[in-house]
Amino acid sequence: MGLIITIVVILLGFFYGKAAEQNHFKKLKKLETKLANMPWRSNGKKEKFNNFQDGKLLTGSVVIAQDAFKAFFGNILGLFGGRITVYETLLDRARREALVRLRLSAQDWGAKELVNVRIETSTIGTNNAQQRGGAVEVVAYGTALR
Amino acid sequence: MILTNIESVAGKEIEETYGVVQGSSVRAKHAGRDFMAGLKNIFGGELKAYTELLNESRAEAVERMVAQAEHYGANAIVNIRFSTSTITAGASEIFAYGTAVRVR
Repeated sequence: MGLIITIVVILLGFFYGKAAEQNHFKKLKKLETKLANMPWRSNGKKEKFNNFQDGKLLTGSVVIAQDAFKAFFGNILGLFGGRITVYETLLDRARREALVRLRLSAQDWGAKELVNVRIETSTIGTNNAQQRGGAVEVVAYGTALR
Repeated sequence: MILTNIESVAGKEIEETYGVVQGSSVRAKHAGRDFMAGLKNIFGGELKAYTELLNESRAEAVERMVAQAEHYGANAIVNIRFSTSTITAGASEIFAYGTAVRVR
């Protein structure tokens, strides 16, 4: 019985998770094209920016969970070592989403530029030992200038 | 209060530096949120409740940092950094720190 439930959960993860991921990538691509005129960079900490009037710290963050199939597959890949591709896409999604949110809030604020952008990743643990996969939190922050 | 994570404030001059100010917030998720997260762990995708939780937590850490800066008489905090750490399985700490300054 336990085995059947596990298999059903993994299959649900496979079909639903895959579709959700593809949709997410499509959405990200669309937003990134829309945000092409919102420049951002990771340097500029020591610059003076006298030609701007206003600066503000902005953040964008997201918590994303791994689906059951990929968590299971990741565990198997982990036995052999090497690249765990199923987690690479998860982190890619999370980072891009956090950056898009940061840049969207900068655009809403009327920023001309976003400087000294920092991206931080942390893992979110789960209370339940039966839950595999876990989740990652990515926060992107930087100073918007206008 | 002007907040930046660069060393200056755009369009303003730093007059005085007061030193490091900090704020932190430890939050745990409650059982209901954890249950929903358990379901999400099957399907994958964003855990909106956690995103909100961590955003609230970050806002609180910043608020505490700002309160400290106000106490010194500062009107801006520069070079702000954030860090997140997991305390136990259910809780995480968000820590914000920066340098309180007065700008003109």
